[in-house]
Amino acid sequence: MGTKSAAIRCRGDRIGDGCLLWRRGSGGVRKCVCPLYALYALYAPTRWYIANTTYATVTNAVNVWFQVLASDEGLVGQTTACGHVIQPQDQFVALPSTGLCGVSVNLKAMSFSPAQVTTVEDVGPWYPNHTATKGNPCVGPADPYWNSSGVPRAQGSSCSNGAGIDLADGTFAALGFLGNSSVLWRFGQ
Amino acid sequence: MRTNRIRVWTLASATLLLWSCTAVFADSLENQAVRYLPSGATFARVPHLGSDGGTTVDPVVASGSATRWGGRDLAFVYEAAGKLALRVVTTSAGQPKEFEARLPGSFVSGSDSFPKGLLLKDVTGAGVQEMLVVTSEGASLGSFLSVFSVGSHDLDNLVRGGTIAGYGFDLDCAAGRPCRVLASGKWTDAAGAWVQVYEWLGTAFVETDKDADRYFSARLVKLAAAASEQAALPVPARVHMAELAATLYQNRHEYDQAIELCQAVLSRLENPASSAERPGVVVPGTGRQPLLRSDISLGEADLHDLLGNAFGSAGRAADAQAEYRLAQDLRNSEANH
Repeated sequence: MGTKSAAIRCRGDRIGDGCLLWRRGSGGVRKCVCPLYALYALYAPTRWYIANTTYATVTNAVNVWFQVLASDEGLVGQTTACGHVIQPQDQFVALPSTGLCGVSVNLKAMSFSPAQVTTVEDVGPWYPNHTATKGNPCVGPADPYWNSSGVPRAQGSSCSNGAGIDLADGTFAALGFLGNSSVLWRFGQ
Repeated sequence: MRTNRIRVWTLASATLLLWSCTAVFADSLENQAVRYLPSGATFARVPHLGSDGGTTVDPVVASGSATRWGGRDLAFVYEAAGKLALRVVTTSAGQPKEFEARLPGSFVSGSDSFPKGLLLKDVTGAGVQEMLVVTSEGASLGSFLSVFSVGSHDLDNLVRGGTIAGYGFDLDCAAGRPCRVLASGKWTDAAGAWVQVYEWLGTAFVETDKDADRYFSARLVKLAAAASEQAALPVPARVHMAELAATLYQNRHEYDQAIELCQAVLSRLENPASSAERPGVVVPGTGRQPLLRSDISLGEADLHDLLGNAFGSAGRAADAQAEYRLAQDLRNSEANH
């Protein structure tokens, strides 16, 4: 399964350059980098994942991490698919499939910021979606990419920004993100 | 003595009566609506925050005057077999009449403008209340605003194209004209920063985008204010908001506003207005420190970069270079700390 990604940009050293992958090195200096794992994501021909219907247990047990683009959900005050009212600086994630409310997710930024453990509280980004709209022009069924290729459908589609996970404001900030950024995540604590 | 007893009893009875009436009235809408609920269906429910900070979940039921007959009509959203529907029960001449329409999405979504997800309001100026419902399949996916009125035989859909899509909705209801419906994007990145304007054109709400730029500007001003005024936000969150607002200002060639915004956020970081904004202070109830010293230094560096970009866009190359140097100095200093 190809994993070529056009979303990762590896140049620039200033915020605002459009860099999608920041790394904070020793002393906390932030640099836009294109490390080996990004190159791997760009050019690796194949990825293998364990997949079956009990994905949560399996991925947790074998410690499978998914590297996807993360976006900021925002939308403070609104209701999520799991019946949660979004708070300022809230902590949760959205994944593009139903039936995951309350499932634990572990997140790691491509930097030295600490890992974050939180839960799924919403459905999205991009899929499932039945009707193309200005805000969400992608149409398609749920995309449990963690059970298949490991690559979000949105990543290869021109209708979206390529994000495979949406992070609440607090989770987004805790990972040190200043814009859409590459993140590693897996199910479990 | 007897008079006093009578007064006490009268007061107690009145209090009991008032309490009973209040209790009955409080749940009467749900009780009234339940008899019109289809077999096997349940009320859709929407969570909202109580005054104590806790979340309560209420059925999506409302009442109002949806017809010219002046009765007290009921509207509610129910869920059956995974589908949502709006049902309106009117009571003209004492005879209940039911109207129904299917709704998109899988749940009713509350928001600041539609806290209960269902609003009865005269938005067309017709003198009766229309039904506005916000539904969704996931906040991250966006929501749908449906607008209906009671027609002669059915509920009339008042939106050309069926529904208004967006991530947030507001009403602008000035006196003397029908309300405008504002649909907006997520406003968490430049691509999601948009506002669409729908106007009532006599038979339907239609996207006209009239005054859209004014509504966009107002939203942008709010975003810029949030970046500089919210004291307890983590530094990356402030920089993220400042970057988005500055980018949007620059896209609109409003360089002075971009510069002013960056300077305001920078100034607030450098000169905290309260002890809560100083590094090492834990936010009560969260166990979290919003501001770490290194975060502040690096946040300042990022903001000097943003300011440099804004100066550069404004044609002030020397000022831009100075800001970039300041950013680099801060990063070098932090690296050596």
